[in-house]
Amino acid sequence: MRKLLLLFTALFIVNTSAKAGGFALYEASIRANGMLGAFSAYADHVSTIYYNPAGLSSLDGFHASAGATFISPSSKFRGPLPHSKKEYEMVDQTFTVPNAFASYQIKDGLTAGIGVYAPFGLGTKWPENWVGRDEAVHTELTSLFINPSIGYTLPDFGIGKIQVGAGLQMAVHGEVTLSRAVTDFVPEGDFRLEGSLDEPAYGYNAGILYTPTDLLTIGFTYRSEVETKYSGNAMFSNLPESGFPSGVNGSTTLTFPSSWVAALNVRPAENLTFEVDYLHWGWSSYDKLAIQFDRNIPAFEDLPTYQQSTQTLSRPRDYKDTWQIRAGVEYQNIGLPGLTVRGGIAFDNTPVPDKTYDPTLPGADRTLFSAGATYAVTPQLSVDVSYIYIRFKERKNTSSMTGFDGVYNSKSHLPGIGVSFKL
Amino acid sequence: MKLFTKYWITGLVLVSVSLWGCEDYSEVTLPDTQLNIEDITYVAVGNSITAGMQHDALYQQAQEYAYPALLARQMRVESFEQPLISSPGKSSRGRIEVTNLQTLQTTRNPNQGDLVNANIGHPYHNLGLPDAELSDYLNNQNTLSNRSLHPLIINNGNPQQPLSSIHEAVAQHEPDLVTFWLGSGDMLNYTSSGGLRPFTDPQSFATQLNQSITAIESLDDPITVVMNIPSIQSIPFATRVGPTLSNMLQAQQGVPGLVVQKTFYQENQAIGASENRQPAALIDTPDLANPDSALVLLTAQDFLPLLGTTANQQGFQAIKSYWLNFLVEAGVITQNEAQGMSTDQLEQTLTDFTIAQYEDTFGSVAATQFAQQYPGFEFDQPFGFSGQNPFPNQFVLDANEISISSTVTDIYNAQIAQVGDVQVDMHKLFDDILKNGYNHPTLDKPLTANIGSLFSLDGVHPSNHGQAVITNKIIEYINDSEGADIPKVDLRQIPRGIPVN
Repeated sequence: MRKLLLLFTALFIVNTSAKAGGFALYEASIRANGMLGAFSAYADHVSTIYYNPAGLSSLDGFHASAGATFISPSSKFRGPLPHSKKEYEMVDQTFTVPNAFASYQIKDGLTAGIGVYAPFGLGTKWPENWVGRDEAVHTELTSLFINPSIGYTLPDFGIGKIQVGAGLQMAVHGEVTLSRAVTDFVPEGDFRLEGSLDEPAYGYNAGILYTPTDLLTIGFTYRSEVETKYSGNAMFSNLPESGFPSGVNGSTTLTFPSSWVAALNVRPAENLTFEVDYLHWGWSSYDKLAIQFDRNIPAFEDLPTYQQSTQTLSRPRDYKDTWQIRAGVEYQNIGLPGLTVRGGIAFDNTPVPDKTYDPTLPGADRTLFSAGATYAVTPQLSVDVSYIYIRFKERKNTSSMTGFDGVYNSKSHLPGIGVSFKL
Repeated sequence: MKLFTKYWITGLVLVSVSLWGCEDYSEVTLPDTQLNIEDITYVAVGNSITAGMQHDALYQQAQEYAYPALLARQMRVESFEQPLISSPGKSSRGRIEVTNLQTLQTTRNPNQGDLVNANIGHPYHNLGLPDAELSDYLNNQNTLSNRSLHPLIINNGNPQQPLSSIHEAVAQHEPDLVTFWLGSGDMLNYTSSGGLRPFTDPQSFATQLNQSITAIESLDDPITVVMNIPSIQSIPFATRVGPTLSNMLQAQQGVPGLVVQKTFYQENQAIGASENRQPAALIDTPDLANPDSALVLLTAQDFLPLLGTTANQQGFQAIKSYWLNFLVEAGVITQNEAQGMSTDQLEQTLTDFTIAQYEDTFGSVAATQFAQQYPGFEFDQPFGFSGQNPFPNQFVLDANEISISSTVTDIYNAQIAQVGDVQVDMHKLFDDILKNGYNHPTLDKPLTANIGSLFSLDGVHPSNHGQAVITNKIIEYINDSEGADIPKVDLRQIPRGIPVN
């Protein structure tokens, strides 16, 4: 059993990256990707476990899906301002964000399911000798959540259909890598923290769907914060032992933010669905990134006072709560029986303030575009594809806390493919 | 409805494609420096501070933060080139490197770096030459050949083709802007030797300065920015050890202070010199911490553990070795003679040399009287606590020498204030830093006039941060004087750059 669990986990330990609002990944389903995640009032796919567990009770029999979104981000930095506009480009990387869901109807109106996905992730890698190497070289965060859920349709009160659902969010695996150059010494050294999730962390999600008529569904869902703790080796390379001892362990706590979604799904005609979701992220919980070491690091004595002690390497983050608007459309059986097409557009505000903005996460306000399709190969099996393009607003920062100012331009391409199965 | 759906989807696709296509990537415009000189050519003239020397060595990682390099960067002068030297750099005694960050223990790295950008086809723009004095600029007195790095730095783009003067290199560039910071070396020669070596005569200084600046202005009337000379009392090389020694002696009962060998002086009010006929004198313990009464130089550090040592004790060999070397450098004895010299012979030779110096200063009649009363050197007396075994003059500036240094520096600075287009008051900047440190709203805490903060480990040369502070002061003056708008250096983005071993 343990081997099986390890194998299962290994399949999903992947590098994930997106410069979403903060480091959230909303790409939990290829079918939802086609509508840019405007999916929280859509109850026709097993990935509703992630988007709104209330939708589970609409699913009869057995459903399953699996897929992966491939994220290819790119960022350019021009600066440092005000004396230079030299351009530096982030190292090309492609990350895979997997997902898998399954549900089983226990009885009419009551369905249980389980989802496995990576809701948070981040991956940036800049050239080792670039001008901002003391800000960031390699930053990577991976997560893996298991989300057992249950959905239930309330008895008919004569006001329309009401569905409720809830789930347990379990962060079962995560890894964090932080590396940067230490330029205060000649020759330069570097710092690297490689940590993994200490123990499973828990949260919950819950949702409700209200369908007053066949034309309209209103949805609301909430996901709680999940506080995770990572620990591992903190390595100081090419630096004097007297200031940077070897064999140090470091740990950091990262709180994945809560979120809620209010969604409206409209079906104005046969085969046609529109949905608009308003999504609120509680990023203000991410106020600092602090690495706690298991012993004193003497060289920290001289660092700025936002360092709490010689055992802590701390930087304020001061993220702010943000919102997103996601809109999607789906048309079934368009031109060809079994073919469904989707499209979407979304607007997303960055939670990162200018003050703490740095190249570890060069995000910005962004506009997302998507297209997707599903083809039912058989009545049981269908293939899903999606494509998302993320266009980041150019961000010029001249008021960062560290003085590392410049202009960032970013974009991402996110193709995805998956299969859905039902019995 | 089908028609509506088709239009809706078509509309969504069109909007998406059009928004998709118009990616933001606007031209980045940098702030206008308002210098109104197209493709400005900037040349820096100076000594080791200008060259970017730190930690007693000249090496690339420090040169990149030298004030001329930072100024060129802030003005966005891309053509500015320096003679970059690989780590650990060029140094006569080896770069000072930290071996223990907690105790700040250091060592010397004896390895030497190499020039990494030779054969550039023209002179470098940073003409900062370690040990340079004002006379080197026009080199009328052929002093340039005394500077060991002359061929490496003042050349025609190739160390095999050294130029005959610094001005020759400046002239080849036909510069629009020249920063000129020479003169510190003319005084540092005196102060860094505890008053043993001479400073440049103020009259000669004035003549050389005027000739140098006139030569620059005659090129094509570039903007000439001149910097004056900081006080020796504002650099850790002279101020750091005294308070430590004072505290050390306070803990020793029965020790009133440090007995220091002195230089004989005739009174000369023009340079602030009082008469001194004493071969050695006591500096009271509290006065060692007062920079107006005494400055114990950083070079004294190695000898402090030997205080109180006598001829038959461990450590005496280091003292004996110092005095032998002192006599060799003074030309009194040869290296061979030094090798075979007994302690008694050394005592006698030092005694005779002291009397001879007295005679040079006050004449033979007075010297005869002095000799009758002078007990001479006696190494059985405790080192640094007796007039017969005094602490070497070379490591201490006494009140008289401080007065001379201060008066002559003021004379130099008064002359510097008369030349050039922009006069930057570095003397005041260094004094302010000594008193108040350097603070700025963007800094988390003030930088101090200490080694490891605004000064490098040699106590003389500014650290990366010190160089940035100097750059910002120059920018302030240029902006004020020329109506320019050169952005200042953000000190948060300057690494400390401490060499470690």
